[in-house]
Order: sequence, then C-alpha cells, then structure tokens
Amino acid sequence: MPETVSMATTGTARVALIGNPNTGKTTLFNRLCGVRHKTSNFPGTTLESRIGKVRAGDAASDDVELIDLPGVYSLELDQVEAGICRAVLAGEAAPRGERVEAPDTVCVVLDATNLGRNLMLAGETLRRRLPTVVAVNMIDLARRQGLALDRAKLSERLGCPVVLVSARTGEGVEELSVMLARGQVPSRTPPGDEAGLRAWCDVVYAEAGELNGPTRAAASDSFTDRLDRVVTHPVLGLLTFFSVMAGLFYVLFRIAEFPMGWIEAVFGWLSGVINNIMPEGVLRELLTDGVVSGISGTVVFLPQICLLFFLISLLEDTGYLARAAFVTDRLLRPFGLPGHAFVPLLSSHACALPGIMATRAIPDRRERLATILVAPFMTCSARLPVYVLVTTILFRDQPALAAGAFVGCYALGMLAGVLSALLARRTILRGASRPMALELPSYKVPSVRTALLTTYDRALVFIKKAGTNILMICIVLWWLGAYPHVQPPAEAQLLAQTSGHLIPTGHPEEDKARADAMMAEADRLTAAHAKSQSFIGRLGRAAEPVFRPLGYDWQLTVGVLASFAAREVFVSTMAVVLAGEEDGEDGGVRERMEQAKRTDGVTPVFAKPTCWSLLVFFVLAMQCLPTLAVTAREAGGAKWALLQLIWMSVLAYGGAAVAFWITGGWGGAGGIS
Amino acid sequence: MLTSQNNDGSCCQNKDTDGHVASIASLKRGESGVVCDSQLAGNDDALLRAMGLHPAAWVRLCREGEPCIVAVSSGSPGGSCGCGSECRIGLARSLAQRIFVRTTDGAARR
Repeated sequence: MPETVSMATTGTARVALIGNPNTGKTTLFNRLCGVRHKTSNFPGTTLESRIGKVRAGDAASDDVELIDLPGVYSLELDQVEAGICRAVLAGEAAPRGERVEAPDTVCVVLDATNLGRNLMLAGETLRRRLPTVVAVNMIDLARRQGLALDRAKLSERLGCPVVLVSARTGEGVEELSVMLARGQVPSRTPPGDEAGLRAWCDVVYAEAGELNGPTRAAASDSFTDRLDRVVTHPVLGLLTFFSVMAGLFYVLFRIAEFPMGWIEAVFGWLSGVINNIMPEGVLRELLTDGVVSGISGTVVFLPQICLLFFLISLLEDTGYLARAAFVTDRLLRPFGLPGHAFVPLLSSHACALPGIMATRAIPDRRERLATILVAPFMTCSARLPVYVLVTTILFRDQPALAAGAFVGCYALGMLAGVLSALLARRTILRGASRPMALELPSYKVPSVRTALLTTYDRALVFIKKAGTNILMICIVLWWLGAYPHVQPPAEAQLLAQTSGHLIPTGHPEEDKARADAMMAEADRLTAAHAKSQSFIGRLGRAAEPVFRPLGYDWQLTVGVLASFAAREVFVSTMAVVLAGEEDGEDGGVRERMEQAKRTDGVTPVFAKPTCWSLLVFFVLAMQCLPTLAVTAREAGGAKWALLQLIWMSVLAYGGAAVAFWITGGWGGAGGIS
Repeated sequence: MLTSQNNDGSCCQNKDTDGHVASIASLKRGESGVVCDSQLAGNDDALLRAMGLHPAAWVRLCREGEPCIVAVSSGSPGGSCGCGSECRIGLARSLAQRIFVRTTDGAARR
C-alpha cells in the first residue's frame, strides 16, 4: 500500500513546485493559484518565491499551500537556485514568513516536449523519498509534435502519480489540483550516480513515450532556425533588439498617459472633497498636502510601471529575450563582462537587489564583482517615476521624443555601467572573461494571463511600498515643510494691506483684477517664505550651494537629498514640497510641479537645463541604501559598497554638471548667471 | 518504444552511424552528431551536462558562429531516438570548440 500524505492531521499541506527552467512552471502556478498568492524571499537571499493557495477539494479546509521554487536543471549543481531547492526539500529552508520544514508533497513539473532531459530532475527528486506528484506539462504541444505518452506506464515507472497537463489550455489542471493533496512516497528509487540515472531516464522515456507517425518538429525547427539566425545576427539582431526596445517604450508612453490622467483626476477630486468637508487646519493640510499629494505623486506612475512589466513579461514569454542575451553578449564581452551578466543586469532593470543576488550565477569572482559594482547603473523601476516626470516636462505632447529620451536614459545607464566595468576589469579586477551558455526556449504566442499576473505581482509590491514607506516619508516631509509657522514677509503684508485699500479708478472690474493680482502675489510670497523658512527649507538651503552647479534650487535639493535613501521618493517629495506653490485651480500633480517656480517667482523649478541635469543625475547616482547593503554582503566587504557609492556619486555629479552646461544652464534661463 | 520516422522517412536511430570526431564549433549548419567528449571542467561542464549536453546526447547545429545554436535531443542513442524531444541551447563559440561530437548524417533530417 503506497504511503500518502494526510492533510487532515497536519493542517494545510505544503507542496513544493519544482522543475527545469522553461517548463511552463510559472504558467502552471498561475493556473493553479490565480491571484491567491503572495511573493516572498528566501532568507539571506533576494531570490523570490511565490506562495499560493490551491483549492484541492470542495471545502476551504482542502486548500493546499503551493511554493514555487526557482527553476533548476539539476539539484546537484553548485548554484544558489539549486542550493535553495535542496534546502527546501530537506526541510532546512523556507520562504520568509513560512515555517521551516520539509514539504508534505513535491510536485515535479516536466516538459512533455523535452521529457528525456526533464526526467533527470524527476529522478533526483524521487531519490529524496518525499511524497511526490509528477505533472507533465505542455502535453498539448507534445501531441502536436506527434508524441504520445502512456500515463499509466510512466506512473508505474516513476512509482508516483502522474498527471498530464497543459497550463496554457487548462487541460488536466483541475485533476492536478486534487492530486496535489495525494502525494505518494515513490515506490521506486532511481539510481544515484549520473550515468545510472541517465540510463534509467532513457528506459522510462522509451517505455512511456510513443511517436504517432511522422514528427512535425522538423517544420517548426526550420522556422525556428531561420528566426534564430535573424535575431542573433550581429547586425540584424542588434537592429531588432533596439527596435523592440524603442517600440516597447513608445507603447508605454502612448497608452499609459490615459490611466495616468484618470488617477490624477481621482486624487484631485479627493483633495477637493477633503477641502470641502473638513475645516481649515493642520489635519486638512496633513491630508491634502501630505498624504494625498505624496501618494498621488507616486501612484500616478503605477500605470507605466504595470505596463512595462506587462510588456516585458509578454516579450519574455515569446522566447525572444533569451536570444537577445546573445546579442548583448557580443556587446558586453568587449567590456570585460561575461554573457552571464546579461540576466543580472536585465533583472537590475526591475530592481538592483535581485540583480546583484543573481550575480551568484557568475562563476568567476572578478566578473561577478564587476557585475555587482555596475548593476545599480541599470535603470530600475524606482527611477521610472523621475524619468516620466522629467521627460514629460521636457517633451509635453511629443510622445516620440519623450520615448527617445526615455530610451536614452536606459542607454546612458547601460553605457556608464559597461564603461565602469571596463575600467574595473582593466584596473582592480583584471582577468579573462568566461563564455556563455543559455537554453533558448521555443518561440510561442505569449500568455496574456501570465503577463497580467506578473504585472499584478509587481503592482502589489509597488503599492505596498507607496502605502508604507513612501507614505511615512511623505508625512515626515510634510511636517518638515509645514513647520515652524512663520509670519508672512513684510512685502507680502504690505501687498495684502494695499490690495484692500486701492484707490478706485472708476473701472470696478479693473480694480478688482488689480486687487486680486496683488493678493495672489502676497499669497505666493507668503507661501515661498514659509517654505524657505521651514525645517526642510533650511536643510535644502544649507545644501543648495553644493547642488547649484547642477542647476538645482533649494526645493530640488530637498528632493535629491530625500531620494538618497530611496529614489522612488523623489517625485512624491517634490509633490509635497511644491504643493500649494501655485495659486488657482488644483491641476494635476505633474502640471503643478511643471509650473512651480523658484523663490524668485519667475524661474521655473524644472527649467529645461535643470531637467536634463536631473535626468543624468538620476541615471548615474547611487540612491538606494538597501542596494549598498546587499553589495556589501554579496561582494564580501563594505569597501565594495563604499567604492560603488563614491564612484557613482562622482559620476552623477560630474555628468549632471556637464549636462547642465551643455544644455545652456550656465548663463542661460534657469541656470547660473 | 520510440521507433518512428521523420517527415522525410529517415529514422532517427541512424544517429548511431559512425563518423569523424569534430568540435560542435566546426560542424556545418544542419550537421548532427553524438556528444563523445568534453574538455570543459567544473561548473561549466556540470551545467551543460544538466542542460542536456552530456555524453551520448544527440545534437544538430542550427546556427554557426557566435553564438553556436544547437538542438539537443535528450534521448539515448542506445535506447530512444528522442525525435520530438529536443531543446535548443545557445553556446559561446569558445564553449562549442571544447565539446566534441561523432558526426552522423545530419543532413538526412532536413
């Protein structure tokens, strides 16, 4: 009688989902759990894991907890992903917040179209003697290729239940969700040595698989061969890569504009409601100028971040990105970076933390250190709100130019990264480069469902940040900006008094307009004086001389200083600092920032040379404390983090000053005269 | 047993055919062979074996140059033929130069 896992006695059963990369494991997880999942990290790493709930029966008590493990080719490899999988199966590790114990069941996901190789991992897992279920995914694709699998024979050979599924079409997924609760300790133990295990795989595959007539793989191979030759071609491949990236960002700008406008309208409406129903006072100011202004200044960029991740997920699913790795490999190699660095650097475009952790896959220490040092140059999602704000101001109603500037920011970050890597590899990290090897998944129509769920994950993480850290920072910044209360300046008082005692000219409408204009100027002077005398104003003014060569006034200096802890707070900080700067109707957050003036009341805060300088500064600056902490840990010493901070800060300062100078900042409008 | 024919009527099991030994990098597009030797070491060797480029694996060169792209069959030449069970691996030329195959009549597959 086979030994099965019983959930009734142990509570919610935990199932570990394991499989080779490119087996459709993520699609299967999404199909099983939908949005009923959360994202967590493994302790001591930033390797992400998703933990979901699967309804394995009619009642909620039948729910199974599913842990999505990193994709691995073998449990025996000397890689961080394989190490995590080994530890989870041995009950020595679990995602943060989860109990550390061995899973009740292991679900091994195999690719039906590449079963021979996938069975190796199944064999290694079965040897662990944990209750196991095998899910043979992409069965629909295998059938189209003329391959039939004898499920009963496969199950008998593996010694555990087998379910044939297609995560894309949903075939067999319901049955698998029930089977997850019925994991079975395998009745057979595959050989332990590599040669024996491989022979075992051949036998299992040969007995369970059958080709029905001529294989249709050849026609598909021919198409794939031709496409591969184009997208990895030294010239055509590069053109394709840059066209795809430019198209991606163009779509990003064109489509995201609409929901961004809607979000601004909602927050504007919310501020209006608060102003109408609450009496004037500190609490109203806190809510409108602190909470609503700060949160809206961040959340307004959510559509762009969502759309970016949605498009990248679609692109990845097509199979193109793996080919693009080889195109960039040719680009990276002359700079002393290995092809393996592409994935960490690509990951760093979402966030430098997982990117730096992913450098563990780079075997050579020098190459790994070089990649760690330059990973934060890649444009992470925290920079996106700044890019969006500044490029929108620079190129209002010119989406093509805005997209060009956006791509330019990405390119500048990459260029600074690779040149810095070259410098490091020629000086402190000398040594030869290691060659690259990557599996190229088959080309396919991307799954919108998977892309949507990936986007949902990223959006949730972003909103959580906006809802916690950024909100807290916004409230603190509001307080620093609102206190201490000071008397209006004498000039403002005089204007206010004069506006009430103007000598009538005989034209009542003109008199009223004059009085209104004087009051408006008095209000502006009062607001500017209050801001400049506030705690934050004093801080910004104290540091302003340092940033003056870059074209920043004290208000921008405050934003830049606040963003040294985390870049993403820059826009929300500016929204708080600049709120109320303009009189009149409450326009969108971006519009108010765009129209904001310096203390002189004439020069725009975001003058064009200043915008270019800001863009360059944010592309190059090291403004993320968690990244520095991870660099110190991964590189094996605080000296590397210090080197990263100093080098990036020097480059950012110098680059921004040059950008300010080139665009006419020194001597021109909004600049230094 | 996996004993079927391709579109052109050739049987995959002809990959046992004797041939000369050459590095993957020196194969012509469409040529195939069975992996017989590797001069890689350490992590590179372990990873490529796990990815399917192990001794006795059948490979077909899809793209010459940098990178070399090979279709790798996961079947064993002595057992199954592995048709319809392939994956594609992109290799830096310097890696492809250090993996050796005994060539078979790869053109017959096309």
